Amino acid sequence: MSGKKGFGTTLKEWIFTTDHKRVGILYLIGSFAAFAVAGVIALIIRMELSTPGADITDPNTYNVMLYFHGAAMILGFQIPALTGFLANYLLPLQIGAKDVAFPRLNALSLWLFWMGIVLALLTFVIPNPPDIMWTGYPPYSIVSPGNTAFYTFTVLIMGFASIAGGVNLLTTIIYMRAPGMRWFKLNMFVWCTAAAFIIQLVFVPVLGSAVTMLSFDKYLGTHFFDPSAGGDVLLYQNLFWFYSHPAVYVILLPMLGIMFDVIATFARNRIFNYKVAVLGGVGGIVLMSGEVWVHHLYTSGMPDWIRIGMMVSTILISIPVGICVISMVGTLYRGAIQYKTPMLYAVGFIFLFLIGGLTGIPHAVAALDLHLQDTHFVVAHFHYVMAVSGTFAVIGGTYYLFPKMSGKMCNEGLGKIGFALTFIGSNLTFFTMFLVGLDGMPRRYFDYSHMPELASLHQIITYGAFILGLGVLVTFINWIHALIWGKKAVDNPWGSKSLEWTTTSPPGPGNWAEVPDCTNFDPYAYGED
Amino acid sequence: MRKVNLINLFVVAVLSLTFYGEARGEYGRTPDTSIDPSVIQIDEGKYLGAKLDGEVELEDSKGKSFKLGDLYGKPTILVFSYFNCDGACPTISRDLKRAVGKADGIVAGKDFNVVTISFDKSDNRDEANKFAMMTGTNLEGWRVAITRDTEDISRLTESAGYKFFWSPRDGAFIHPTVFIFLSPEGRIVRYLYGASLGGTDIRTAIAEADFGTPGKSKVRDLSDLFLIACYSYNYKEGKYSLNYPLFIAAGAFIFSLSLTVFGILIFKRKVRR
Amino acid sequence: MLIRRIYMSVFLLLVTVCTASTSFASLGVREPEEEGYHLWGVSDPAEGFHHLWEEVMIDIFAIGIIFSLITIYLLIKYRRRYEGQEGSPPKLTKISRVGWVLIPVFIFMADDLFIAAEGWTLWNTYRTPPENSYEIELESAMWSWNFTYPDGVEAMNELRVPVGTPILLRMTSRDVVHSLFLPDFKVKEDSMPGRVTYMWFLPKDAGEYVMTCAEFCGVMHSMMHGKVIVMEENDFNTWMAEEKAKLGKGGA
Repeated sequence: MSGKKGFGTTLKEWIFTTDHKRVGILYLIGSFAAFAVAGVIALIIRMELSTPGADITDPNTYNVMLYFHGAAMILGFQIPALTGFLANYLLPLQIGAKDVAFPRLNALSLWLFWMGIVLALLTFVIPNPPDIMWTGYPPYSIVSPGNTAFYTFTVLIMGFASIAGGVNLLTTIIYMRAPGMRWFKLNMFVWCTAAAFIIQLVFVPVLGSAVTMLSFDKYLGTHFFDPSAGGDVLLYQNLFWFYSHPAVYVILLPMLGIMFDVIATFARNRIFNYKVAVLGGVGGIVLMSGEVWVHHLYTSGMPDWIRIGMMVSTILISIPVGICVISMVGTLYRGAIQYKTPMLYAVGFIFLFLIGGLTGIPHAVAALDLHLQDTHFVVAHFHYVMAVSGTFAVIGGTYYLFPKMSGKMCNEGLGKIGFALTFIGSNLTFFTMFLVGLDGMPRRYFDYSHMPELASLHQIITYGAFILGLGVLVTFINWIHALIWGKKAVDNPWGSKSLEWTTTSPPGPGNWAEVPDCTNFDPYAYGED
Repeated sequence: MRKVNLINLFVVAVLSLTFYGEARGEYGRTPDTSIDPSVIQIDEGKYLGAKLDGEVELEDSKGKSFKLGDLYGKPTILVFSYFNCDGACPTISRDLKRAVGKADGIVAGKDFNVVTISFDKSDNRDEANKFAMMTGTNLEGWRVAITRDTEDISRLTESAGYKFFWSPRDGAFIHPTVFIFLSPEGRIVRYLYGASLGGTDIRTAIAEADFGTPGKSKVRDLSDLFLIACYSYNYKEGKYSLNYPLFIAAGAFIFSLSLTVFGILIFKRKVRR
Repeated sequence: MLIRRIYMSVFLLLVTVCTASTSFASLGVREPEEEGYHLWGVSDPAEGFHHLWEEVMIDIFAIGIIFSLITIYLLIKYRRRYEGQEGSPPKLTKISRVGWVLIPVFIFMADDLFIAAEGWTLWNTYRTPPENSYEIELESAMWSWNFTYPDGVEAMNELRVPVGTPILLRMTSRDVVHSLFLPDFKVKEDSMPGRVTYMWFLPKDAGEYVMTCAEFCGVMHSMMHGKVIVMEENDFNTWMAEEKAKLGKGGA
């Protein structure tokens, strides 16, 4: 289409777009840019850690890189890719809406997100970059020479973006479903994102208030978190995790949702126990998400009985998550599984998520966590449960949606190579990290010369990280290759029954020529026609 | 940072003794020296959590002897005084009595003990009795005591980080005016200063004392929990102040939660139509 | 067919009830102090850690392997055999729907509560220092660990302790949040300004152990490490006497 119009016109169209599909694709580009940069940073971090002692950076730069890796991966990649890109692109298509409820608000949240990305990237340009990690615990974030304001503003801007996006898409789900699209006809992805947005709306303001008070402390001389003047250090940690634990579910839920849809499509099967997965699994996660945050603070000097109470609630949250996973695996039962690239990612996701989830159990047990907390064990755990699983979900989802978004097919061979490399790489990296952590390697360490016996394991991790990086690179190459030279895709290359595949690939403005009638529609009607 | 603030605190304390003492009358004869307040400053960070020896033998104003450890099992408010003091000591005892009286829901003797121990070696039981009468603290749960062994005085005060000395020029002891809150185990939980304490300060400190015992933190009732959450100790002022960031964050949370619920309610009404 | 189904459901019900009841029974969490009770008969948290760790590992490996085997079996068994094959989803009755929630929930819950109960008891061991503990004060600062022994002897980054005596550390911080981590004693706890925290451990064998900081505290975070030197009782007393003598000289 850009052939006829000039490049400038096209660019202008994209920048001023209010179309949910373009907004989604711009989210995709932004979040993958953050992912790529933060990923390269991760490789540098791994190179530094492959041997004890200082190798290629100095502690200061290293801490800044760690800060950037955390902030950019969570605020710049995971949340925007799952609740920005996937939700914006897929959600209106799956409910049969022509666009989102407030297209301009959508564009606003998109550009706020891009501002956040730029702000995060500026970390490497400004004179005193923040080195306070993505958690920003005071008093270090107050006394640190780094520029805490950058952290605060990134968090606030991303927070605004996700609140705006949340209001927008929730309204869309509620009011803009196609005629006949009843609640229990919705795709799992729609349910999961709706749940994620509810969590966002309720919890983001708490984090917003916490980081605002933090920067007031640093720049305006207030004493919100200064113990010498009536503040409380622990309170920030509580407020931070009061949002940031639910944020894990904000990432987890859309990731489960997209994987549910991918698995249903390629297993040619209904979601197993759909209603229960929605009400018990997704609903249960939303209800329980806000009452487990103290498990991040088992070693932080909270009163003992709070830690024990939260231990029980933390262990119990495995129940709704377990219900979701059972439904996911149950979907395979009596299916007819086709192993296309997106499905491979979904299968990989199940196993990675399983490892991540199960290693959460020793963390949840407070007595064991006294040893595991703040070591590489917890790093490996959350990389399994949200970083790698999330990446698999996003990449798998992108593969799944690629024909719809671009009208081109990806190369299956390259896709499978990419999958194999990422799968091997992630397991090599993060499973070894469990062992290192168990041996007592604390996280956020620049140097471990006092534990030289860990060097060989660290080397394996570094090799693993590079394999993982190579896998992601192959995936990127595959996508770019497919964009330029890919075969033309038909409207429904996967033979999915879900609503988004009934329109053209790529969908035109307004998505459908006329709004589809969903009276007899069922997104998972496999094997019944 | 904390050091500076504590110095401020004692500057304020000593200045108030120096300048306003005579004018207000109640502090009576006060030292007119400008003593460096850091001399008697308590390094709270170092002594919080320290365990006081329960074996110290004491004798109260009625002549009954007991050990400091006999009081353990409940929170204890420990006040160091000397009985010939006609300045701060009786005043702060009266202040404490007033503040405890204002603290609703807790009763001295039942929920906690108060013990005033003399650090003056020359004090005896009669003076203790006189002091108790004068300050009106000869009550249930209140004890005014002297140590049996004068050696114990310095041991006890040192282990609490409490410093004092005789100033011959002023003819008085120079000492901090502090209430030391002990946990049921005899560990120091909190230092509260000054004469302007309110009932809430006392209640919060007692709740914290009940609460902060290693291994046995317990809650007596929910209001204790509420107090501990809503108030945080202000090292600069030596008493509790409201925990503003908690209220701000809770406000943000309630705001967003109610907006979401409100939105859902509106949606439900629309659907019914 | 019907009979088999009934058998199956009765069996599953029995399994669920058994696991649930054993776990609820074990919920009678016991305080180590009361009745002198300790999990697995050990009063040393680190040893308790190893026991519980083994149990949890067996538990999660069992769940993981069973679950993976089922998944792999499904992945192979139900692969697409011919072009255009569609799945034939099982028709769930209302009872089986509910069953598929309740049975996994009960199994999860039984397992969870079982682990939680043991974890709780071990937690009590971890958080209840023995009466005869040797109490040492710790003030952390950027970037060192400063210990003060009961007699005023001070040490920096080297914690010398006698073998076999429970060590209780009372911690606070001068500046930012730190976390004292003793990997060999399987314990850590944050130290922070304005609050007092504590932890205890039992040094069993003489030797040198790593002590390191686990909470990010600035540029030198990874260099904030030291040693726990566990000494024989006599050596420790000699060292203590020497230090006290030095202290006396310094003070005089």
